[in-house]
Amino acid sequence: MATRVSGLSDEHAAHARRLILKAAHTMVAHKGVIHYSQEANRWEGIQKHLTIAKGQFPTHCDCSSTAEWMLWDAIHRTYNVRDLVSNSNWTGGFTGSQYRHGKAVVHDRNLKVGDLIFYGDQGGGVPEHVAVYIGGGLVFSHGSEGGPYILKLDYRNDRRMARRYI
Amino acid sequence: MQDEHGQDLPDSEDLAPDAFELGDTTVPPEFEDLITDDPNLIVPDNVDKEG
Repeated sequence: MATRVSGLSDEHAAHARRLILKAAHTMVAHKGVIHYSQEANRWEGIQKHLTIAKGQFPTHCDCSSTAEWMLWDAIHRTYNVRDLVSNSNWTGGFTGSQYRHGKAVVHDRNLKVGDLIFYGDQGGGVPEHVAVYIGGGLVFSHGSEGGPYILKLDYRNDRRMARRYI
Repeated sequence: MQDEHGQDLPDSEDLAPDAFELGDTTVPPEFEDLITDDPNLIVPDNVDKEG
């Protein structure tokens, strides 16, 4: 069995990735009720223990809190994996903490569902934005009130490193 | 549903030990109608904040 960042088995990792796909699809399909928020309520997904397994998803969130919730739901709520994403015991995080954890995915051909894709630099090496890879050269991105969107991997021209947590 | 060790698999209806572990090059078909590929429709992303 391959060694994973999360330590999950092949089957459990596949299941975790499928949960992320389901979350991405469901949230984009319901974008009308989802609001972009950088306030404290952006953590409602984790705080309220919302799970896509029951069709639940946060309706107030930003790019990093959505990515964090998706991974929390997929690997912690489901398999009790510790916070490998931001190392904050699943209490928060942002692009800066996410970018410092996980394992780098160097080549695009190795990208897998659930990998986080980082864009831009707001100073000090902290990325401006994060999106979630969903396969086929596409990402799930929630960076504005109109989102979330399904976009091409290079919809921005400032893509940086991808990182894996599953 | 149980795994090879006899442990219950949560949400097993979603389990699909398939191409997700092999890398992937195809667009998940359920997303084909949801892709936004017109840059004019995309509002610039806000800069993420710590906290």
